[in-house]
Amino acid sequence: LLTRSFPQIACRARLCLAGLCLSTIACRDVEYPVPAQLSTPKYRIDAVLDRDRAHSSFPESSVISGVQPDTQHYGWSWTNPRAILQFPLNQAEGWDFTARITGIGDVLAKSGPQTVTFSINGQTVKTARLDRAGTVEIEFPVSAGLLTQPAKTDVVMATQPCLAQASGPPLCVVLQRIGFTRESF
Amino acid sequence: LTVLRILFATFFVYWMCRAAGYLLLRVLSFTLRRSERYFFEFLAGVPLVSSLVFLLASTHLVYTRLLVTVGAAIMICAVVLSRRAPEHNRPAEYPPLSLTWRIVFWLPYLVFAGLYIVTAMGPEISPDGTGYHVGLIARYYEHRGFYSVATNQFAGLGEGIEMLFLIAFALGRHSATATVHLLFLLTLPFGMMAWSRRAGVPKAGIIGALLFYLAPVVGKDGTIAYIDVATAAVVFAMFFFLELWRNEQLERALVPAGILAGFAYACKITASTAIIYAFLCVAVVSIRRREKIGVLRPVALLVGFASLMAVPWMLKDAIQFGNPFFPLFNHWFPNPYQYPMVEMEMRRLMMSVSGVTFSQIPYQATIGGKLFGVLGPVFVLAPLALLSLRTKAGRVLALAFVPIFLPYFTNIGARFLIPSLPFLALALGIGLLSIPRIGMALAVTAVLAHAGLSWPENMNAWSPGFQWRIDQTSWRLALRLTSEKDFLEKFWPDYKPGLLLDQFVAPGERVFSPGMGQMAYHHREILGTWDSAAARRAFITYLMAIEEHLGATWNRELRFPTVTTDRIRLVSDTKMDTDLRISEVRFALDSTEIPRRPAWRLTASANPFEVQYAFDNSSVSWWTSGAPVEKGTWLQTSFGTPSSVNRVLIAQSEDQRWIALQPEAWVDGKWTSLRSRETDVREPPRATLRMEVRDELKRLNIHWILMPDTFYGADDLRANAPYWGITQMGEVNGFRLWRLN
Repeated sequence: LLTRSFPQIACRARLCLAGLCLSTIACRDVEYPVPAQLSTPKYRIDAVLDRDRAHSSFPESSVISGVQPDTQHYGWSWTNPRAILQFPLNQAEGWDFTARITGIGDVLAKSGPQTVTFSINGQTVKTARLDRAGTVEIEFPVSAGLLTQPAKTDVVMATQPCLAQASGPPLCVVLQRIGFTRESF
Repeated sequence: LTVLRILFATFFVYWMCRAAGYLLLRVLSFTLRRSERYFFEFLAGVPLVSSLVFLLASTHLVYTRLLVTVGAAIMICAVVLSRRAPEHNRPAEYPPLSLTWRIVFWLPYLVFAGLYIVTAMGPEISPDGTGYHVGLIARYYEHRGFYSVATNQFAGLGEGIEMLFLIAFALGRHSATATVHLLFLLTLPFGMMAWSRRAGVPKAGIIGALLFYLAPVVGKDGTIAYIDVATAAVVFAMFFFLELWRNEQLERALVPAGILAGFAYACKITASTAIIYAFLCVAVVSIRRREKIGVLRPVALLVGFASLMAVPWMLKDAIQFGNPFFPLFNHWFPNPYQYPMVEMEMRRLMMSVSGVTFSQIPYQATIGGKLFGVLGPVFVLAPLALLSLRTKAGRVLALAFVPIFLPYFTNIGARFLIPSLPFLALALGIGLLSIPRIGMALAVTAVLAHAGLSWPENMNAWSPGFQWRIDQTSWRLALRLTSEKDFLEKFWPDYKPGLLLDQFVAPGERVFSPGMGQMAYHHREILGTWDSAAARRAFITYLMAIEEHLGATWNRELRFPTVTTDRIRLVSDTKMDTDLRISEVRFALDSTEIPRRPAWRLTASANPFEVQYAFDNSSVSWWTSGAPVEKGTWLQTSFGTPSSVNRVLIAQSEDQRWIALQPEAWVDGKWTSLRSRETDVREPPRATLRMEVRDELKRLNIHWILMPDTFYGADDLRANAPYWGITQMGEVNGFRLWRLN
């Protein structure tokens, strides 16, 4: 009826409607509330072999020998009496050594208390004694003087006594994490 | 089998379009000559088939079987109808051309057709093709239709031709999209000749058709999965139907003309001037005719059918991007998907491709090649097209050429000449033939010379350097006697990095990929440096760890007499080419910060969508105006209730230090400028900045970086990977894939 009676008005009305639609898109007000506040994280870099974490800042860190394969956990877990690991660090200063080992009740019951000795580049830096089953966290700063060739840092983990097996190497402790961490700078 | 699939897909699309076109023209009681049907039935059907696929994609029904069923149904309908009621009133065919002219046409046509078919059948590796013409189509096929693509502005371009590519891709995969584009190249000369016959200039039609068809840039473009030649065909078909309406007073011709005019917009936004041309043409002719029915009816018919084709794409963009013309006009239709500043940068870049000035265009577009492709040296004769203005046909061509040509200046790449080229080529044909005595010899010589000069191997003899032209033709590859995969792995650096993404990146995780834009041969979401607001944000965030002037913080403290207000603005007092970026804003009364409350409301005069980044307690995230800062650009905080304030603390990147900021408060119902004293402190890049940047990228859902070793800052990633907190997962063809730990 409108079109027949007032064709020009109808036409303009349609144009206005189209204009209104476009301007609604173009001129809409946008307001937002304050977002969730982000916390300031503490950044660390790490050259760590971690049984439960695949990421490392230095992915070339590797087990040389003495850590038995465990297909469920990135290929390593039980240690032999002498485990050797290598970490390609990029500088000497500022590192903390970190390790998490677990003494296993069955082993301790048969072998008696165990002593785990950590050496970095041939120098003994820490000895841990395991009297009973459970996890031990080890963390201490590393003197820069020890890391004479940071890109080739060797760590030896010597454990005794261990549980001899009828076949295969003896079982010592379960190594869950070992390596170096430091503040980002 | 691959070859058969490609050929089947191509023929299927062609016959589906022809059948749809036949049905449309049949409904409209059109009778075309046999020589006209090859092209105009096909072109009349293209928009219909494209719209049908658009509907299927909109409803997520893109299944190969459904496409085949629908296509077959259309073809069967057309066949049944054509048999049931054969047309007796078809106009008589034109008398055949002389043998000489037939040789002049068919010889170069067939030789180049062979070259074009072999080229198009090869693996599809064109930059824009693999980037989005096919890249996005491949994704649509995976998703069974359109889906939200927030990271690629090209998803907002009209994809009218790409809808045909979608059928082709479903049936024949990547190469079939190029062969479907080739259909337009192979058929357009027949359309040009058909119009020329109707216009009474048949020989000029042959000359013009070949000048167009043989042009190196046309050959290159038409044999890859681009859309320029197809757009030219659509525009020319629209022109043909308009001429049919004008000359033969067939009102129903306005239906296909309108459909094709609207579809030109859906093909390529720069071809939207076809709608303006069609509108003006119909309006002016109607006024001059003083018809009883008036001007409104034909104009309404044209505009109505044009809208049917163009409006759905506008609606799609309005729904998906909040801008019916996305990725253009973002300043008028602000949205969170692309910054107006990036759009402006792109415009500037496209208006001076390779630094070529307007006065250098004639040389570079014909011979030079700096505009990525050449028309060929014969087009140096283009001014002779002016001679055609002495004829009616020439004037008609000129009237069509001008509006289609004008948008070229928005992007001076040679291939952007293609949509208007058929008109120029025909006019040149008329012009050459109109030269007394030597005209015909000159025209034939020009065409034969054009053919010789345009043959790829011959181009090295006259082209000054690198040309964007057909350069890889191998019939063994076209027939897949050489493995497509082997070819891609050996000769296309972007292929293997794509495979790397599929190997390592989980679906849904974004990849910051500043040097590799192909999306056709992998399945992950990648961000470049400019193809979306998200990409630009990722890029600038990345640069914060590389560029000191972006990584250093510029802390401003604005002190002013205590004011009690419920709203405060920070207003720019500077106009610059750069955007305004603010990382953090805090308000304080003396030494006590006013805690941020949920009741606060934040907005800005430009890009309000990202205003929260200035209030998230992270100095590596930032609000940007998204457009060059103007005097008066503001960022506003509404407290909800009146608060007393006398200090504003602002953290920005150091590069922002030159932009003056002035506080304003809402007092007594108006904005009042606060007399402030500013103290600035520069804070050097923090030692942890790389990891902060990494975490910010992760907040943007970017979990991976794929970067060529040659990219800016790539050496920093390699040297300081531990400080970035990233791990290299793979390396191939000079690209490294980094995982953000």
